[in-house]
Parts: sequence; structure tokens; C-alpha cells
Amino acid sequence: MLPDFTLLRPQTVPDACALLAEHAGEAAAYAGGTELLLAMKLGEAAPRYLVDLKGVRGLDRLDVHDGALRVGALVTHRRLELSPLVAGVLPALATLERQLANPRIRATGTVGGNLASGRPHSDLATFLIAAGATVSCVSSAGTTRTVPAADLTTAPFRTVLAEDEVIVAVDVPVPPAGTALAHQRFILVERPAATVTVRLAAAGGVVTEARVVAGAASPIPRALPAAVGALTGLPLDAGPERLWPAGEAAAETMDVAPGGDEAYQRQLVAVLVRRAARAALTDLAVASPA
Amino acid sequence: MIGQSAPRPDLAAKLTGAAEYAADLDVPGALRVALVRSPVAHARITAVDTAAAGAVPGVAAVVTAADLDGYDATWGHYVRDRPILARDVVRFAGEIVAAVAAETDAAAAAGARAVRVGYEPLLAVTDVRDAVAPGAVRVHEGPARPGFGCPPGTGFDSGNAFFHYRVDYERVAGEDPADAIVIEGEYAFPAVYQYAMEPHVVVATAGAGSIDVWSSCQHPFLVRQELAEVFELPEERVRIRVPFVGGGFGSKSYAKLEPVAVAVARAAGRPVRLVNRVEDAMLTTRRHGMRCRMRTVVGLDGRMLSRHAEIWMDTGAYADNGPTVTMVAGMAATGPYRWDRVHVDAACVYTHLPPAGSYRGFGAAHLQWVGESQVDEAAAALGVDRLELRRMNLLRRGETVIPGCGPLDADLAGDLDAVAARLGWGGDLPAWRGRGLSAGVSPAGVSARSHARAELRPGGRVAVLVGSQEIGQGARTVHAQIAAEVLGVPLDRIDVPATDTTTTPYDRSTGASRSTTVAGLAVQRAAERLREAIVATAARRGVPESDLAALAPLAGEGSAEELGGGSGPALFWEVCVAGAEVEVDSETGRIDVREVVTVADVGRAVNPSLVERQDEGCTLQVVGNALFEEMRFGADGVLRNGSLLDYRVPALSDMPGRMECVIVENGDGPGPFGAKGCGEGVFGGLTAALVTAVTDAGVRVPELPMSPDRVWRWIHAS
Repeated sequence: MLPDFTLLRPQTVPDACALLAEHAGEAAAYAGGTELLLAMKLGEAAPRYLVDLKGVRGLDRLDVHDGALRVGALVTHRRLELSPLVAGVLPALATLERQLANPRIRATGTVGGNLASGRPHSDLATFLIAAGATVSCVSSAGTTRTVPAADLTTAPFRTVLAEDEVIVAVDVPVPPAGTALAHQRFILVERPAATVTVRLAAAGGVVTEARVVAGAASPIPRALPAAVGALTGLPLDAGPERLWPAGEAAAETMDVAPGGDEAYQRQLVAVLVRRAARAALTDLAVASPA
Repeated sequence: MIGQSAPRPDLAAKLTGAAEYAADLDVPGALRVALVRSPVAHARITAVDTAAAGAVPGVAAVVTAADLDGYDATWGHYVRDRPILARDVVRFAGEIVAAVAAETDAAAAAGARAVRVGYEPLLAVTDVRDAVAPGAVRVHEGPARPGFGCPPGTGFDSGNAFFHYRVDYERVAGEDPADAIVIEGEYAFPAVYQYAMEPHVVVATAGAGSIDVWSSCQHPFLVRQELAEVFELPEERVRIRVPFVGGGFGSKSYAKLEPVAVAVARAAGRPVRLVNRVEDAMLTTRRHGMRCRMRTVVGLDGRMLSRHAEIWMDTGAYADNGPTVTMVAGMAATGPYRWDRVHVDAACVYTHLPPAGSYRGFGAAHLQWVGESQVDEAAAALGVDRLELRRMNLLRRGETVIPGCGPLDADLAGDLDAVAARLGWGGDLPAWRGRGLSAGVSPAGVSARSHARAELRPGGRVAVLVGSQEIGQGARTVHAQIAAEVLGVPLDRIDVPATDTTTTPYDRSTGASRSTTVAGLAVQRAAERLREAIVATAARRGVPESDLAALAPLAGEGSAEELGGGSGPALFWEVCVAGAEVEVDSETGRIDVREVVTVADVGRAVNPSLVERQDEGCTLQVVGNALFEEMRFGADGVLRNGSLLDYRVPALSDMPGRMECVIVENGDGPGPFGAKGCGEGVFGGLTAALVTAVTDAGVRVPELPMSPDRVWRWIHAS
């Protein structure tokens, strides 16, 4: 059962930040509630005040701006999943969204809430780090700061957000031609056991640049630079055996989330890195036939 | 009407949300109840302090064992072993120690948090291996005390393994030859949760000499008997009403929360409403975990010679329906084959875990896969086709399955051939793909104690009063079809109202696939008596037989008692035959169920669409049980994955790539128009088919579930 709380309904970002500041230590920002309300029902959180952002104006943008897809904090997973714009500029993101949870959760959960929760198993966080996204945050002082997605989460369910600070938008660079993103996930129970995103850039038929990010099996989603070298220089038609070293490097260098079966967690990350890399290579090969 | 896929009369109400379930009932003045549960598996209760809880605004009553005076507050239909509220000792983490009744849910919850209980921890046994070890801590002192539903003559042992079911026979005396193929192994099946979408709900009023209960239960007449026993009232003074039930699968069989709800209503002097959450439901009942050792011996000529099995069923801290589950598990261990010798010893074992009870296909789900995987191994050792080895040894119609029970009443070889043909048996498959099939039978029907009454009411509508519960399976649709067929009236003129034990004729239970076969036969007989009354009255009064309004009121009573007893618990054998094709992802261990074929050997399909839906629903539950569901208890007996976040139930995305239900209609059932029950057999048949398919793909399976992490480890260990 939900513990008692008071619902506050600001209409502007400054008002929301002011309420969070006023009730610091006792308040939580709230939008879709798919993560927060669950934690409250399970007794893991009991904020006395919920600052409901759903009525705050200007947080539901979804457009391309300065070469980046700008996603307002209140944009739902479902909207990303169904948006023709997203399908056009970041098809891998649309594909990812289609696989999350279930339609009811996707219709309710927001991008801002997903990231602000600091959940280690966030597919979106893994993807956004690989995509080089940045997160815009506003505090009660009225200042806006831009945090790289890679720096947002510091520990499981902990972020750099101050108590009076809310996420207002995420900017995801639109991948230029010759770039591909691929996301892979593996579930054992409701939440993913491992998530991996691989971003590859290619020129002249070989990989020139790579990013590999893994989450869920690790305490927080994190880039795995050791796998990058194994992918750089690969031809687009590289066979399965040539992807093996990248998977192994990722598995060996990842931090493993405690409490699980470590060997299996490393195995999953190795497999997902290979499969994501394979999918990205295939996309690149299709986009630039030899 | 028989053989037509008539649409369900309750369809519109359920789709629009108009259908009322127990939690929807508005009972004026009812208090909300919150339960205080033990956090530890085994402890002496040193103190219970309810003062702070009683002082919470809105709290009307805080009830502990000390408040249950004037009667023996202990219940259990098979073994009367369970205190309504824990007395002196707790035996599982989650046991109910106190109940708080309050004006609101929030006040009840606050009251429950304020109850202070002191525990002195005791050693807990949480695995059947430890529980049956010499010198193990006893979960219950003293001999088991038979409950009202315990079959006369049942013997109980004094240790944690308090009940044994044994099958011991020789068709051919002698020893297995030295050159025979011997397959031996140890196997395990985990505790799993039934997950009915609607958790348990009870609304109870307890007056001076009467009890009135609304409950989401499967067996209202046995709940009535339980409450009458415990609260020392005549059964006629206990009224049970059942609205629509949002799924049962066995989780709502027998009494569950009714005793505590009535005890609290009695202590508070007000009606109470107790609504379980999923987290509570998981601690209320579950499927038995199982461990077993099995040996199968097959001669070099392919003749199955002997089977031995030792089985330990983990029934948790209280017996619930454990002895029945254990009996059916013991029967399933034999397999439907013509053995020379069989020796099976199945033990029902107390542990300090939450109590286990019935779950769809019990026994067959636990053991059929074990026996069938040994048959596959023997076939491999002999170098013969697995289907062929089965065909050589399968029991035929009329042969004895279990001594003392009725003979086989189905064509298992025909069923197996139907599966093989659809799976493309014998064709080549790529690496990491495999096919499996499996045969078994499970005792069904349980009891002939079903009665029904068909009433022609003023206005010309017909009401069928029958005590089988509509738990989603379509019982009311089928009963209406049977009455419509006999009476020759359209389906929309027939009503099958919800059960009220004060007006609905006695029906033992909704389970063991008995609603169509047993209760349905009672409906058929009642409708036949009504039909006779219509014909006779029409003739006497010179009114056309079709003018029902003019002939009303008339009634006919019927029962299924002609099915008799004397054949053990099997009024018929439910067929458990299925096949599957799987693909194993060798890198992650994930199993993809590409194709499933199930056989609904139903004698006669009263409503083919409902038969198919039964097999499909059961298929999805099997996928969960076989591939990923398990309740994970710590060594301390505390459930580690007690919410749906960490306990995954199957979703539509887990559906097999292709599902086919083969309806077999040999007209050989004892029910109406030759029908026999269905809906549970898939649990035995398909679980085994998935295991043998995975083995065929190259991975030997010693325990369930075949979760990806386990499968990956099995691959890498070999």
C-alpha cells in the first residue's frame, strides 16, 4: 500500500524547483511514477511530498534542434516508440523503446523519470551514454547545467542531481552518415539482466570509431573502453570470430553487479557486445554498400 | 449445442468491467484487515504487544491467538495442523501472528506496523533433504491429527515426512537381468507460485450462531465444512457466496484466508474485508517443491522392466493439500507403461517454508518429466527411436494403471501418434534444435459428489443451479450448453447463477478437471428430470411443450453419484500427452519454444473453443514453470523474490512460436455425452516434452526451471 503523501502541482520549472528546495529531504519529483510509486509501495521510499511535474509547461518537446534530438523530460517511452521523427533519426532508440516493460508502463513512464531514478538496469541510460547524449538540469537558483549522460548516475539509484534540481531535457546527437547504433538486452526476470549499446562509425569500409556501453549486469551503466580497440579497424563484413575479442574485453573489464552469478553476467555482456556489434556492422554495410 | 463453440455468456460483463469480483463488493460497515506476519521462519513467540496498535486512530480490533477463545482455533482439511493465528511458535516466514481490523486500509496498515512481537529464533529446516535427515528439527511435535477431509484409514508417520504414498507391485516376479539398461538420477522441481490475477479476497460476518462469507474460492462447500468444524456450527448456519473468481489454478482450493477472516470478524463484532496483495498471496499458498531419485530399467529387447522412485514433496509448515499432491506425484512417477515391477515411495514432508497446496496439474507436473527423460535416455542407450520405445510399452485401454484404481480409459498410442505427426517426428533438425514428446495420465474427477438443480422459472427462463465455480475456465458456459442440449431451449434462455451455499446444491470442489465431467453430469441428469416434468405437465394440462412460460414453475434434480466410488481417486484418467520443438541459444542458455502440440483427449468436446483455450492457458503456465519461474528462499527460509518484479510470470511475449491443440473425441469419458475433463493434462505432458526436447537439443536437464543461467552452466559443465 502507498504511504501517505502530499501531492504538489507546480506549473513551471522554477516553481517545481522551489518546492523541491522548500521540502528538501522530504520531497521527490514525480512524473510517470513507474519507478517511484513502486519503490514507495515496496517501502523503499517514503517522501512526504511528491512534486508532480506532469503539469509543468515546456517539458514535452520532441524535435530536432542543432543536430540533436531534443527530448523533453516528460516525453514518455511510448511517444519515443511511436514517433516517426525518432524512427527517422534514431531508429535504434525506437527499437529499444518497443522492447521495454509493457505498453502500460511505456505509456506512463517518462524519459526524465527513467534517468533521474538512477536505476542501474535502465536501457535508456545505457543507450544514451553510447549515443553521447547530454542531460539539461535546472535548479532553484534558476541555472541550467548540462551533464553528459555518462556522468549522470554515480551509483545505483544515485545521480548528480541536487535536491532542488530537475531534468528538463535530453539532447541526443543525431548520428551522422556512416554511424550506427545497436542496442541489445537480455532479461531473466522483469528487469533486464544485461543491456549493451554499441555505436560504430565507419569510413572506407572499416570501423573508425567505436563506443561500447554496458548496464544492468554492472552496478551502473558504464562505457567499456577496453572493447573499443577490438572493434576499431574491423571491416564491415567481419566474421563472427573477429567480434569475439571485443566481447571478451568487455566481459573482462566490466564491473559486475554484486549478488548475481558473476561468470554468467560476464558471459551475457560478452554475447550482447558481439550481437550489438554485429547488428551495427550490418546496418553500416547496408547503408554503404561496397 | 454440444460441440459448438458458443460464446461465453459472461464475456460482455468481463470485457466491460461490469463483472463483480469479491473485492468489488460494497459491504456497509466492513472493517479493513491488515495482517502481521512473522519475519522469521522458525521462532518461539516471546511477547506480543498490541497496545500501540490498539491506540492507532481508526483501529477497531487487534486480534492475536490469545483472543481466539471458546473454540479450537486450528484448521486444515487433511491434517488439522494450522493455527488461525500463530500460538507460541511460528513455523514459516510469513505466518500470520496477528490481525488488525480498522475503519480504513491506512489505519489497518498503521496498526499492523505498530504491533510488537518478540521472537526467539529456532533452527529452521528449509530443504526436504535436511527435514528428513536423522535428528532433524521437527516442524510439528506430536502425531498429525486428521482433518475433516482426511480419507478414513489414512496413516500418518511421526517425523517431518508425515505421510507416504506407495506404489508397490509386480506384474512379473523376478529380478532385472544383469545386462539391462539402467538409467538413474536425482532431480528437483522448484516451489512456484500459482499467480491468479485476482488474489484471495474474503468478506466475512460472524454473528452469534451464524457465519456469512463472500469468498473468491474454488470449493465453497468444503470451505463451509471447514468453518463449521472450526467454529462449531451446523453447516446450515454457515453461508458461503462466491462471485466471479479471477483465476484459481488451485490457489483458491479448500480454505485459505476464510478462517482468519471469520475469527477476526467474530473478535471485532463487525463484518471484515480481507484482500490479499500478490506479496501476501505468495505466502498464502504455492506449488510444492520436489526432490526425487529415480531408476528406470529397460531390457535389451526394449521391454520396460522396472521403475523405482523415492520422492520428497516439500509441503511447507502446514499440510494443506500436500498428502493428495504427494499421492498424485507418486502415481505420475510410474508412467503409463507396462512395467514388470514398480516401487514408488512418495513422502509429504514438513519444512519451515510457506505452506504448499494445489496447483494445476500437480503431481504430473512434478514427476512426468523425470520419468519421461529417463525413457528418452534408455532409448538413446538402446539406439531405438523414442516414440517407438514408448509405443512398445504403453498401456492399452483397459489395462491397470495403478492397482486399486480404475483401468486406462484412453488411447495413449493414438494420442502420441497425433503429436508425432504434427511435429514432423523423425525429420532432421539443425544444431541446438530438439524435439520431444511425452505421455502420461493423471487421476481426475476425485469424487462423484456433485448435485445440480434445473428450474423452469416463471417467465419461461431456465436456471441451472450447480456448485462448480466460474474461475475463468467457462464452467457456466458449458453447464448452460449441457442444459440447453437436453432441454432443447436456446442458450440465451438459460442462466447459471453464482453459488450461494444456502440455495445451490452440493458440489465437492472445482478442480481435478471435474466441472464438465462430474458437475456437468449432474446438470445433464437435472435437465433430464426437468425435461420429463415439462413433457408430463404439458400432456396433463394440454399445453404445448414449447410454451415454457405457461408450464413454469417446474424443477428437476440430478447428481453424478452414478459415477460411484471404489476406483480410487480416478473417476477417469486425464491424458497428459504433448510434444514440443525448441531451440537452445548456446551462448546465453535461453530456450526458444518454437512449437507446441497438445492433446486434449476429452471424449467429447462440449465447447471446442473453451477446450483449446484451456490448453493454451496451461501451455503458457508450463512455459513459466519449466523455463523460468521459481520461488527463491534463502537458507533462513525467507522468500527472496516475493514480488512480481523479481518473480517473473509468463507474458504474451513468452508464447511459443506455434501452438496447436489436437482435440481427440473418442466418446470414452464418463461425463455428459461421453465427455471427460481437460485443462490440467498439459502440465504433465508439456513440461516433459519441453525437457525431452531440450535434452534432444543436447542439454541434459536434472532440475527445473531450465532458466537461461542454469542451461548455460549445464552446457559449459559438459
